[in-house]
Amino acid sequence: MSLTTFAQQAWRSRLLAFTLSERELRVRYKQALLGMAWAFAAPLGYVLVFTVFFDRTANIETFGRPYPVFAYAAIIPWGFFSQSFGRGATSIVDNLVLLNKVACPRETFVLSGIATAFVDMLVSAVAFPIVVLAFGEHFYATTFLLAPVLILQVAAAVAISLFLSAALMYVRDVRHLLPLLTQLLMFATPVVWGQAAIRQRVSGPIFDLYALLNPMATVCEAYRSTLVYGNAPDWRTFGLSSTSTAIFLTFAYWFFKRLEPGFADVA
Amino acid sequence: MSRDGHVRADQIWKRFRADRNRQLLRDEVARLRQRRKGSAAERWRWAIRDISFEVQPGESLALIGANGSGKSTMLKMLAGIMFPTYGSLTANGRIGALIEVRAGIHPDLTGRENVFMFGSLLGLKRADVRKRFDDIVEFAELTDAIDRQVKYYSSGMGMRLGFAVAAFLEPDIMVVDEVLAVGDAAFQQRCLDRMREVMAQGTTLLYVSHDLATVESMCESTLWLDQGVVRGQGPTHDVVGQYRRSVEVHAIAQHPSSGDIDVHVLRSSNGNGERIKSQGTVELDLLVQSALQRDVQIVIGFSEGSPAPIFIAQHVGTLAPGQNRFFCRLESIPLPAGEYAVYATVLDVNGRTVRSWSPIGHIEVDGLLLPPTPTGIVRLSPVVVDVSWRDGD
Repeated sequence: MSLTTFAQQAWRSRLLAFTLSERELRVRYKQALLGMAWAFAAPLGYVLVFTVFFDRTANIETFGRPYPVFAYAAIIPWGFFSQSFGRGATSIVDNLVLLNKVACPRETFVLSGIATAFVDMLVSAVAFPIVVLAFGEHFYATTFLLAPVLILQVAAAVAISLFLSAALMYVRDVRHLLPLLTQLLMFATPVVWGQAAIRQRVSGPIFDLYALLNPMATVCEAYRSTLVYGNAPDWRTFGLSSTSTAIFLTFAYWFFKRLEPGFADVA
Repeated sequence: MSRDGHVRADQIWKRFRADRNRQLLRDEVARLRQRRKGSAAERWRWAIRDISFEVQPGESLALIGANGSGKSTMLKMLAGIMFPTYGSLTANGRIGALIEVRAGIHPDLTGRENVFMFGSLLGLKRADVRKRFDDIVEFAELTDAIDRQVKYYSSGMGMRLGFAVAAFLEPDIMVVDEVLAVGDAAFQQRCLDRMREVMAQGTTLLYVSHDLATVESMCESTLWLDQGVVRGQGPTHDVVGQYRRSVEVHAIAQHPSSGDIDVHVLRSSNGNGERIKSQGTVELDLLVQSALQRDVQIVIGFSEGSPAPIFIAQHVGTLAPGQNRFFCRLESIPLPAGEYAVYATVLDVNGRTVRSWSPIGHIEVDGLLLPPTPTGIVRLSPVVVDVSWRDGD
């Protein structure tokens, strides 16, 4: 496949991805008010559950911030990740009908799933200022430092989705493990708990390794420090996570493209 | 680089795993274990074996063959949905593929959204699609239903939409897979007309169908596939003729001869022991073997090879145990020159089938040739009649 035909295909696939996610979103937000409510419901529900169970029982160190604000800041990126994980990983298997009818680069389906999750995240973020005001907290200019973090977070979601969606075509039964995997990953990521409290007790190299293995931990902590504490993200862990994510993304894309020609054969 | 609409397949091979339906982790693990032990080589099924062809822009190629012969796999590869295992395939230009689109392209989208999505897949801008949108809706007769989700369409509506979209968005290559079967006769004819128009504009047509009459009317050349191998390739008339004869031979082979009744054509002639001529007489000498005495109705029919006869003749009689002879004389048969299969069935007095409808032999006819029909007009059965024209003054 020459470079020009690839560019052409990518252009076509952009329109297709747009149509697919547009459709998905339009159905959801058709009734603007109710649509927004759905996007708020999940993160607010999480905050409520976390506050009732984890805050009370686990006594999580929040360094003087109210727990709901502390948790919501990390739930925003985690909600995006778990949604794009769920949609992206099954996007090829879920679109077998289309797969057998139209020729397009198959990553279109993955990307449109992630685009949908991204819009949902933006909507769910709208509720954050309300929670902040309700608890009498402040807004910080460091919020704008999230721009590079957004890129890392999308790259991580694309990488894992590309890898899983291609693998899932050949080992479909693994699909049933995905919800469990998402739950486990959530507890392995500082969503309900904060990293800072543990950091005081554990040595540096272990944290470096953790940042390499779990970029979403870096992302969640970056949201927390910029939105809740008014600090800059930890650029060291950010650099480590970005490096490992770039490597994994390259591998995942290669893996996906290698398996892609066979998708229709097993559809 | 060759021109848009040019299609070239060069020694295409395509294989599938023999156990296609299961894609589970435990199967993969079992396969890995087997491979490590070195036992059992992986099992593959070849769907396409060494197929080559070339279609020039504006030409049309039909793919025919029995179910499972690899036609749809071939089309999917042409459309870029599947990829050949070996060999090279080039299809230049925009490909409008109509593969399994009976229910539209995406069932959850409305008709309107489907049109735009299909357009974007073909590489058209939204403005380009908008320009042709009204034509599409009008052709598909979907004015009232265009904003409804396609999953609520009837199969006919889905097919009409799919066809209209593929035919009006001006692809360089149009790939049509057996879609016309769902439409009513009037719409089928409009589709054929539209395909002819599109071809006149230089679009290449690749067409898969079991309907040999439309194949004959639409395509100049035909590729006959049989279990993934080319059985015939060339001008449509020749290849379709070969294919029809093979269908007849296959039907004879399939028919269980062990029943308690059997019918054969012993001899066929024009009644004077000479060769049969168009619009002449045919005399068939039939041998009917029966195990018991019974009253029956014998029906014979003449066809081009398929079980659908051009015309039939019937006779009510009594069979004695053992061999019975019947002579059937048909006057001025309207058949043009060619080979025809003779089919027969035997029914009892209650209309129950004693011997099922299958070939009992064939006849050869000399003489008149059929006048060619224009592209896009489907002749139902080959019949010649005497015609005279007179210019008015």
